[in-house]
Amino acid sequence: MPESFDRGALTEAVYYVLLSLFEPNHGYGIMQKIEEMSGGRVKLGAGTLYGALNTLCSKKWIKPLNEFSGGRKKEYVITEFGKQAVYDEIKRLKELAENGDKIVGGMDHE
Amino acid sequence: MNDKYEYKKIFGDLESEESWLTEMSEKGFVLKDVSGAFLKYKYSFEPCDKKYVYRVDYNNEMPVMEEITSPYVMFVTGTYGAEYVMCRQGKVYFRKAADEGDFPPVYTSPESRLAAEKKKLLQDVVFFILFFADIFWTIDLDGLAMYLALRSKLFFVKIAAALICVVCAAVCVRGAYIHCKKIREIKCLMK
Repeated sequence: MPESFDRGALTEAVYYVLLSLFEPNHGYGIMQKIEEMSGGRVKLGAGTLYGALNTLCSKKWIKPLNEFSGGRKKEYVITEFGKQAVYDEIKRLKELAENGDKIVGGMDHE
Repeated sequence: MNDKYEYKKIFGDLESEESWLTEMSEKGFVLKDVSGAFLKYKYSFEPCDKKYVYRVDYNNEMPVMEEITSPYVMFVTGTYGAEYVMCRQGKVYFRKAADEGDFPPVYTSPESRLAAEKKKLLQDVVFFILFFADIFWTIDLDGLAMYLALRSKLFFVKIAAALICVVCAAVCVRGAYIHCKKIREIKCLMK
């Protein structure tokens, strides 16, 4: 259970991995895409990324494309379950952001 | 001269080992081998001009694989452009030349770091139980009583074996303690 799901919310690593797999991608591509999406803020470590991929596979949220081609360039893609999890998470995040905006939105923060 | 490049050390966690190895590389020494057992491991180095960044992870593959063909090793070398150094003492060592770009830490989220530590602790506990189950299975008490009576040299062999067992137990307990401490530390960070 390298990335926990018991809090309901997805971890940042899991959320970004799911997002990066709406198109088939391999380990290196996933890492690059996440770094790009987050403007260099999120760089996933080897253990974290490998753990997230394995956990997501066992939860059937993603699936390997070329099962028999072995490790190096193994490609993954998101499944319907995975997409549903992402939609739910976006809804949750939107609620968080909207409520935050309602309270402090008018203020000039930062 | 060779012994000059050998250091006996023990580390509390993966991160301090990584940073020490990276530091050594900056000083011009690259890791050649890790050997030894019990309380201190022997790290041997050789001079090298190239600078490397080291990353160390627990070898969590089951069964414990030593070969470069382990899926995790393949994943790390393929994804991060890192070089596999070796597997020693249940740990796997990677390095990447410092000028070849970034090599992020193995665990970049507290959740995954915690999970790795817990898995390692569980592995150690299982190993510990199996180890002692094996010892107690093999010690034959009748034989021991006979050696006691005869006071033969073999008796001392048995005593030595028992002492070694005690030391092993101490090492296991110490390892477990280190892991528990680390787990508590990460949990504090997550709050």
